Amino acid sequence: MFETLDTLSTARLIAKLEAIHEVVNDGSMPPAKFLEFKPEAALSAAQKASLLKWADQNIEQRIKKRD
Amino acid sequence: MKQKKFWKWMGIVFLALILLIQLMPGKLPEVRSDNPNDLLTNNNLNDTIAAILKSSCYDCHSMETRYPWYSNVAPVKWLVAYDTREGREALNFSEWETMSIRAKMKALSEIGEEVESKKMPMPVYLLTHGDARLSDSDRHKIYRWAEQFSNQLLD
Repeated sequence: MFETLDTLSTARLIAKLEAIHEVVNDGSMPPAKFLEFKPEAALSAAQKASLLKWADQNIEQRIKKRD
Repeated sequence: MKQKKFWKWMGIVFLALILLIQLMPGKLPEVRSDNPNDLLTNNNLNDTIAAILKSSCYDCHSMETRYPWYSNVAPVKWLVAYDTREGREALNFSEWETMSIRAKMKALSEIGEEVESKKMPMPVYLLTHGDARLSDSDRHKIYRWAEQFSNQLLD
């Protein structure tokens, strides 16, 4: 099953963004196996930081709406 | 005659090995019954959902593991210890209230997906835990509960 981000419910979107945040943060994505033959796909520290920030902002903004 | 002797010795060696590995260090993860941050004690969940979570998830995903007797016998002990440790690390219902809203929502989304797609409870666990088996309708109940509970967190 493939879903696109824009069709997800808010709750599921937050869940997916949180999952993205987690795997980028702990470095489990992109997978080390993949980077072995495509090292240029590795994320720089700056790229990592902007992905994390993007996920954070989108999550927090959607959680705050309820107040 | 010669072959009979061979199997006799194989049996003895096998038994000796089983006995020997019992001496190896390694403990099962601890069990704790008093969990102030538990999901079920802090949320008024529907009885059916609570019962399913207890019987099908809590052995690995809480501190209230019910270890069967054979989980004290190596090498089963190693497998049970590993799965319980990994399970609690991925999601521990006994620590539910300590999680952020976003972490809860991610967990609920994964609970729905994994239970509906039959990745959880793990098939190897179900082999020996008949009471943990879920019907398709049980699985769907969990899926819908996870979705609804997650939405509730946003209200």
